[in-house]
Amino acid sequence: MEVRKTEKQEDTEMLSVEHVSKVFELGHQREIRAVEDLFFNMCHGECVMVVGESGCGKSTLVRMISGIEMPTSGKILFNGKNVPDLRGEELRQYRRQVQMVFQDSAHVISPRMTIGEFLRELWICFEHKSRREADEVVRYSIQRVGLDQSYLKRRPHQLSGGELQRICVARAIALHPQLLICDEATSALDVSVQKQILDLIREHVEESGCSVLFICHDLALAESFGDRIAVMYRGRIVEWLNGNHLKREALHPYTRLLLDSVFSIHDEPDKPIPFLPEEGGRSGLDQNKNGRDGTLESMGCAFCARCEKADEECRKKRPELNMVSPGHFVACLKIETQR
Amino acid sequence: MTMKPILEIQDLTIDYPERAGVVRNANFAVQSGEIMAVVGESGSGKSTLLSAILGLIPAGGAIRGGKILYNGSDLVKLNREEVRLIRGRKIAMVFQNSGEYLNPRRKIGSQYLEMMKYHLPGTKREHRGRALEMLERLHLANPDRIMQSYPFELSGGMKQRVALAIALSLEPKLLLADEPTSALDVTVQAQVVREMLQVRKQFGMTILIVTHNIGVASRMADHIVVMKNGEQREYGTRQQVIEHPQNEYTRYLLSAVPELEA
Repeated sequence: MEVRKTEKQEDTEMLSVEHVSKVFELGHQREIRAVEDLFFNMCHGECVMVVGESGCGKSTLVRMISGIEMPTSGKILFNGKNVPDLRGEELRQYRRQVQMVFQDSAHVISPRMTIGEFLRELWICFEHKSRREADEVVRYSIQRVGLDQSYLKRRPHQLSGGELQRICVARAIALHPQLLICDEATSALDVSVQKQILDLIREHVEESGCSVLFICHDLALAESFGDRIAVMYRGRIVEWLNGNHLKREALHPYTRLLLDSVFSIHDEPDKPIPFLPEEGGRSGLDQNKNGRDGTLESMGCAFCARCEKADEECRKKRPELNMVSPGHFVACLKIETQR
Repeated sequence: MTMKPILEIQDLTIDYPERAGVVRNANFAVQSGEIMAVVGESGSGKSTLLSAILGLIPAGGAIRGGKILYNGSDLVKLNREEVRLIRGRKIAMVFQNSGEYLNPRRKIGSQYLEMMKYHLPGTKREHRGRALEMLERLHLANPDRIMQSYPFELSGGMKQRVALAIALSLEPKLLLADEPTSALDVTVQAQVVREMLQVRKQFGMTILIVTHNIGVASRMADHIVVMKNGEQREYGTRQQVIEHPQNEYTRYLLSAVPELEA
């Protein structure tokens, strides 16, 4: 996607995530390491897609960026300021700059609010507008997302999933945030509705030049929408790609596995589906989604249990992200040696 | 592949109290041994259609007209006892969130064996052997361990495979699958699709699958039905529907699917 960047801000770093980890304590000395020692950066006007399967830590990552969760360690710098340290008015302004759209909008909007109240709230809160003034702007913002004004009087249960998602996008972009975070914003929607929501976001990005951090599990969607793509596996980014020609460029075995698992409508129907062994937790049972004790396996490559190319080295040494070409980074020991 | 349809839907119309015509005049035939996919968006009536086959329409809903012919006999007209004999043994079903159909307080094994005891002759030991064999056939590592697990101990993909195993152990002629892979990650989805295709090969089973994932439908199905707002918009072979869609809506639907660049 062509993102028009405002001239001043071009290529300046907006967000940088450094050495960030998040550990959830489960009690009984069990813990989940949702995100481990992660590096991540974004420039103004960029659209970054984070791809991964459930439990890989992608939601935890963006929840930390948006300030919903606190990282266990590490820094999240937004325009040079560490997000977890923000307090008071600074934090309030940060929340204005970073807006989020969630997967399940039905749970985001209070069932007792009308859509009008929901959209009006932020103008009163951030811009100190009177109700009447706020109503004016709200009428404009609901128009922008292609819904008519009769919606303002309705309540969430009267709207379909796609309409609710439009409302949430309308609210998120109303104050022109610098960063729009979408956490699986279209995953629960039908493909045709998904397309409409994406067009809406794309339109806004082109108009305002805001950055988008988009989480999804659909590689095809990531490719069509993003400037850069980060593939996450078990709390780490295993590959950074430029946002096109995924099929040709992707190198990491996990990314390849994801690509092979996508069913394209243009595939031959008898194309073989590769067999994938069950992810081996203890005893072959997945006790919890990324269930590990955190100590035993933390040495080697997280993917080695399911990787065909894995050998002794992979089990012992943790691969770091290495550059293979400009903008393309891979964390795999085998690929480094190949080149 | 014989050319006698195992299942025929004729002019089927289903009403809900708040919405008439959830399914309107559905018409298609499933040949023995083939895989038929019904695709459509939410609210298109595809799941209702599938539930109707086993008489599982949610309370309040009713079949207003039409026939559902299974091997020539109309399922709509059967009495409870006759339906009971068909459910599970002749026609089995797998749901989207199979995890929720398993009792969370009982181990997989006890639920599995209960079902077998109800439907099949033989001793518990024989049943158990058969269950283990079926789990193994579906590439579940360590079937013994699975029989002793509670549903919460298994991942989504494993639960889906367990549900598939339970449905298959009676060797039904027809398997109905309602969005069996929609709640799963792509890699797991690929595995479940793989198992289902293999099952078809091994048992010569007929599968009627409902999905909104057109990629999955196009990989699995021999014939595809496209539904929209309760109406059947298109019905044809995979080739016809995917490569040369006739209907406006089908074309729109296909164009909305994000595709990877070659």
